Amino acid sequence: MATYKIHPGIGIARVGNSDTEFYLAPEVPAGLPHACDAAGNPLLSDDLSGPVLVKNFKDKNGRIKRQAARFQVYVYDDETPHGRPLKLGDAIEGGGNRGKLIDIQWRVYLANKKSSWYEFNTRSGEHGYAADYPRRNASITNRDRLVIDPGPRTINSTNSRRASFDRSGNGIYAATFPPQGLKPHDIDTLGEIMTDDSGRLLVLGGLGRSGSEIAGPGEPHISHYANNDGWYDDISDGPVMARLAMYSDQVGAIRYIDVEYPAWAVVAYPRFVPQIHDMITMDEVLYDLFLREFAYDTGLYGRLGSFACPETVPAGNQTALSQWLASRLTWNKDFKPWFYRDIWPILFRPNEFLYLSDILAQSNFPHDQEQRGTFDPFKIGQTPGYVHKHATMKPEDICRDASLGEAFTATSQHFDEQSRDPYRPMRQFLFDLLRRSGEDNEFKLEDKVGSRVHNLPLMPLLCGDNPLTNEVATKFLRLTDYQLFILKQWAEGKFINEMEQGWINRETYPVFFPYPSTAPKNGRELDRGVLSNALGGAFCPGGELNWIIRNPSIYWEPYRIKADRSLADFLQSAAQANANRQPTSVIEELSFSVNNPLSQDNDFATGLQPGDLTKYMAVPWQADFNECTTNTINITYADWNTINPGGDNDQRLKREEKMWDTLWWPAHRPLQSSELTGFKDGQPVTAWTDWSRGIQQTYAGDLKMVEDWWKLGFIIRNPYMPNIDTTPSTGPDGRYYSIERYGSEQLAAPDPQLSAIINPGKKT
Amino acid sequence: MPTRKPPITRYGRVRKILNEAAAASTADYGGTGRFWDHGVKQLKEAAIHGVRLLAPEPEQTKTCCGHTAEKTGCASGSASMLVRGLKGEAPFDGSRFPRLPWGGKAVSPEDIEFISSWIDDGCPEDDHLHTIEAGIQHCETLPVRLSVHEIAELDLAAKGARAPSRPGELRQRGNLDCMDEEELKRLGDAFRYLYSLNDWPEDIRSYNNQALIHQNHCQHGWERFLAWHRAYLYEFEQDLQDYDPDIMVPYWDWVMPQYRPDCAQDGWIIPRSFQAFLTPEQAEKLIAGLNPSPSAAQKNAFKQLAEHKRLFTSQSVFFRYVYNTIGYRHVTPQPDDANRKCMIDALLASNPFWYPLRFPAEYGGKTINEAIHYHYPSASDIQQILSLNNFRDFGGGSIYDASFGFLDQNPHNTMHIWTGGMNPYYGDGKSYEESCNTACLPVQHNTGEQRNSMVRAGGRHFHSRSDMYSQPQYGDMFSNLTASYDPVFWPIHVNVDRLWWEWQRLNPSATPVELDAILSPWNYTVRDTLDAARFGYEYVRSSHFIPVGLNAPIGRIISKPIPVNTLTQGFRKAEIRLHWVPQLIRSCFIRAFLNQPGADAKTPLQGNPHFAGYLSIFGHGACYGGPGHCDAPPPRARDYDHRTRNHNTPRNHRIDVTDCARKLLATGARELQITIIVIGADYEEDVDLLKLEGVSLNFLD
Repeated sequence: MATYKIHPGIGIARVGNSDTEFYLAPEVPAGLPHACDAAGNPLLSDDLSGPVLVKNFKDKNGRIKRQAARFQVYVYDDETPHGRPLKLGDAIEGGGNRGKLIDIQWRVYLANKKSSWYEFNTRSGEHGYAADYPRRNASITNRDRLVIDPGPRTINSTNSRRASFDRSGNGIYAATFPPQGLKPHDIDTLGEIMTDDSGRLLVLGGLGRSGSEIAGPGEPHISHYANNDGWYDDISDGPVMARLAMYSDQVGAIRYIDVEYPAWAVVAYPRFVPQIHDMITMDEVLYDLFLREFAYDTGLYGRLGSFACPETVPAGNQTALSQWLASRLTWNKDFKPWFYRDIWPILFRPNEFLYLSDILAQSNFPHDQEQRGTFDPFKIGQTPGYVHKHATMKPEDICRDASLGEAFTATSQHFDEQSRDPYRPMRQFLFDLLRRSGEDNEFKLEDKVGSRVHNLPLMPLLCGDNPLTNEVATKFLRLTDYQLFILKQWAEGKFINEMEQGWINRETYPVFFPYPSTAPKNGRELDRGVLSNALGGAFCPGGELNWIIRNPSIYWEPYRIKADRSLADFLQSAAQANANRQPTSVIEELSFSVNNPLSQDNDFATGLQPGDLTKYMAVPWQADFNECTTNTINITYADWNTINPGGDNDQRLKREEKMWDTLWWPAHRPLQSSELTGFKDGQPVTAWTDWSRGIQQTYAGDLKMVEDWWKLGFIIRNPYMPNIDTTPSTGPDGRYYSIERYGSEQLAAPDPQLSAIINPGKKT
Repeated sequence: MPTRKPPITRYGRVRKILNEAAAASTADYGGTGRFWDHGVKQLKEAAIHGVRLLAPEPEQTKTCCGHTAEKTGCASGSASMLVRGLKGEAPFDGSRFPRLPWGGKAVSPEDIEFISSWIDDGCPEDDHLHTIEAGIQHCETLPVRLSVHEIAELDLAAKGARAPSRPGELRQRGNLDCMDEEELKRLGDAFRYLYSLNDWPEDIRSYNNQALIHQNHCQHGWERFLAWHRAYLYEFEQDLQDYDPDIMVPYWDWVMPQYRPDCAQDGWIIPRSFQAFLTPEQAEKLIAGLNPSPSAAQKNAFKQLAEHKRLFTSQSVFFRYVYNTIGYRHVTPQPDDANRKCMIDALLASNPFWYPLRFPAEYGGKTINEAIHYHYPSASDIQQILSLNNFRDFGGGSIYDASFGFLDQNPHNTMHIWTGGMNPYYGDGKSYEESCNTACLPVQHNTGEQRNSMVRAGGRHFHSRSDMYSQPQYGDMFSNLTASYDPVFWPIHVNVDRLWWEWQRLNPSATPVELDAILSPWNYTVRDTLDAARFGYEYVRSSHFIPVGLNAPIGRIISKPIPVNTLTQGFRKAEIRLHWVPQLIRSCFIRAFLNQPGADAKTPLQGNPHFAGYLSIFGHGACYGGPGHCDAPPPRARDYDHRTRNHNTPRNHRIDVTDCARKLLATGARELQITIIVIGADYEEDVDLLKLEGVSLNFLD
């Protein structure tokens, strides 16, 4: 029997102020978006071997192109238990009918609930808001008008291929929108949907317009990074449902069947650095969550003693899952991660941030991946007992490796052990530096009993979910439990090096851009590929979404948001469409009848409504985006983010108070970058500069960001630099630079060769 | 002597296969290198990254019951990690490791099979390719003790008689096609009783008044469909039970093979028990009532119909047979034709489930697919519908999106249209000589969707003779207004209810939206109908009860062989149930065997195809109370005894015997004979312990 599912389960669209041009969301980690035509059909390279990657992020008027979230239907059956894309014309079945797929209807419902939701305040509300917790726009009693609710839209792949989430309600729905006359920008649409020629759905988000309904002297103004009364933006999210129309030869009639469950579209701000991963991606957060809370891979994380024969927890069986969760769960100590697939992409990342901030670019490159560095993959990737042909150091040289520092002297090794596994101290040193569970608030371990790394800051040294207040302080980011587990296995030598095993070729493997570049093989890879380009922390509130994504209650199953199906599904059932003998060209939403506006609250038992994921995020988004460069974290006491020595006239405390300027997430919000200034001898010329110069880190700057966000440059991997993927970074070496900043857009496409460099044809 | 080239050993061939596949790969397998190249002993021990490629030899271990048992995960070839790895199965599916051999090409399925069977044979080192022979396994004949002869085989309960109903015990709605003549007769008598009450128009119990409830109140096309009909079936079942308390309404499983769902017009069309036939007595009456009297040959032909119980799916098929084959031509389709009336009377008297205003599968010579654009439901259709994951898609939408569910819209509507059908003799002046094709009016394109407006209900006197003789355009099942006047309505809707009951187990929390809505004309709410157990029934394909009696302990229970016909054999689950077992003073095991009447405590369990399963019962131990403290309580509590359940309330037990029953039936058994033995703590039979009311064998769908 066949099952039909929409993938990706969560799709990411991104705003842009170009109302005409757009591209398709990347579907592989750290991938560039795909170019498409005006109907959303992907452009193929000249030899048809692959997609054309985007090289211009702005349209001819200098406006940012929107990123479309593309959804498609996969079929799961005996032939392909892991799913394959469904195509028009394929044989399908369902609901007791079978026939040829002649059309796909898509139903999308986007909304924005930010302005009626609770005020965002660090981690408050992560496990439910108290009844008296303050709302945004608390003085407004008509709460419904604060929700931007354009109503649902339905399209098909034949005669009704576009719809807009505008004020019109499409003639059948009483839409609610903010009043017109917002300053500086009105919001008249949350975006639009369309189908491409293959029947796939494209969701385009808003135009990045934000405005305040408060008038008068000094208005509009911004006075908070996340909560600003009177303000709206055009970010949104909501369910995506599909209905398959088949022509049944058996009865000579059209029959309908719905896919198994809705998917979800999330609209976010632009990804200005598409090719650099965040230290933790949303994919990594969710994978870890599903392993631990959904028994996603019981051979990796499961019941103690069950790993020889991993158990299966039936999907959707809450009782079995609760039983499993209540058992003695642990990580499989025999699990061997792969170095280049699993370990190296984590360790590779921090060095990339030197292209995005002064702090790292001008330091002594602590994440150096060259031969002298602490992060040389050819050393830290060598498995115990493997004598590496390319190893240039003798075991006795190791003690002279300055990068080992105190860790080496602190680690006593027998000589024979040392020769068998010469790089064990390097691995252990890196692992010891990692912030573990329970150390979220530790800047460094100092001289605590059992200290692993004396007086060195723990890593990652990035802001955590709450470096601001004293309620559930979480000063620093830490890796997920899964990441820490596989890194521990690696540190202990329990890992596989694919090069040693001959699975990958040292000469050609892109060690210094270690991401898969081939299209996702199945629906699950598509789910994960899309999410890998979204931010996985810190959540304060975050990039695309906040901490709500790690709440198991919002999922129907891994990678699928639990939807309130009374809002997500087509208004008439597929069986009713069969009964009505409805022609596929007619989309029946006229029986639409609703007796409740979109909810002001959550109902996780029923499922999420449109707008329920993005409502936690800052309003307007530009305020938080602008401010999320660095945060000065008070590290005087682990448990306290704010202390008040002045209140007690505590001179000692004032004297001993310690602060650390900490980055948020440079790959989502760069601080500095090399900027393209011209070409010389066919090579790019760049200048190191503030990425968002002219927009200061103040509330006035936040307001300016509302106007100027689209003028910022996009930072890409230098297409002119040879062998960039197989040679290590040597510091700020120009392998990334910013293009298309306002006023310099013409520099982006100087040379027709560039296209060939970004999109090389297949080698023949 | 000529030197003969030594033939290659099987191990040598294994090495060759793997080396050819590995080709130039330099993979070192976590340090072990080409683990297959270093001899059989090393290969048996080989592990890559902690994964043993060949599992260790199975150990003979003693289980707690004193029997020898093989350790699970034995060294079979297909289960070995080497073979899994060559096939690219987990963990060699690319998640933990790539497919074996690393860096080389995949091994062909034939070669993998060769390696697998070599492992199966214990990885011999030096046997040669041409000497392989399949080993012949000698089975010892199972020891049979003769001491059981004196134990009589227990009879099945009389057909149609049910297990005594005890508090909390559900009763079984069974499969119509698995019912025998006796059961059908009892059900038919109850139907006739309700028909007879039609003479008192004010009697709410009469068949017509029950059918009128559907005419006036039935719910279709939205979420109340399933709930309303569950209550309706229960009410009707109670009505039947007023006449015969053992009656449970049966279900018609439309997708069973005899209906040939893919070409349903060539299958049974409707259950045989609902088709027209003549009893010998009615055949005589018919012959006597015809005017002019039929010829001797014709009389004989009528008698033959009864003798062979020839079945007709509808009156039109019957009358064409009489007219064209028997050759009795003094009959026309006219409603007032006296001979036609006589014959309809005889058919009605012969079978209480037959209904003249029913024209199944008749659509003017077309198939239902062609005429109505609906298709007869198949097993895979039902599987698809059962896989729907929300109530609206399965059972219909709420008031705000009043939408059909798939179960309602497709198989349910289709079965109404299928059994109703179109009367080929609608209209005037036709003769039974004409084939049905010419008499039919063209079918409107949307007949299926407008089925409820197709039948006239007003002005009719249902179940009156004049109504039974009429020639309407459509069968009564075609429309909701008239459907339940046709008795085939019930088994169809019981099956719809059964499918909901099945689906509820798959989707325990999926419910209609409005749970507090009243289901008029009763006082049930939708919520009240969610749990079918509240109405006291479950669904089984068929059930066979063997009364034992609580009077004395029984050491061993051997049933008479229970015939299992082909219709019953497609069961999903087979269960032996022990009914109403009082607390036992000592602990014991109950072992169940099928078709091994001589089984005793020494009968092997391992490898014995007749061993069906066991359960253990904890003994209650000696009573610490005074006289009467541990007496079994009365079957029903006294009035106003609202205390919690008595600690000695007898229990029911179940043993799942699906695998054993299925295997025996698959190897030719046509009967199943139950043997139950009671094993005490000393692993000997305990003949003075178990008491129970009876044993049953149940087949579940």
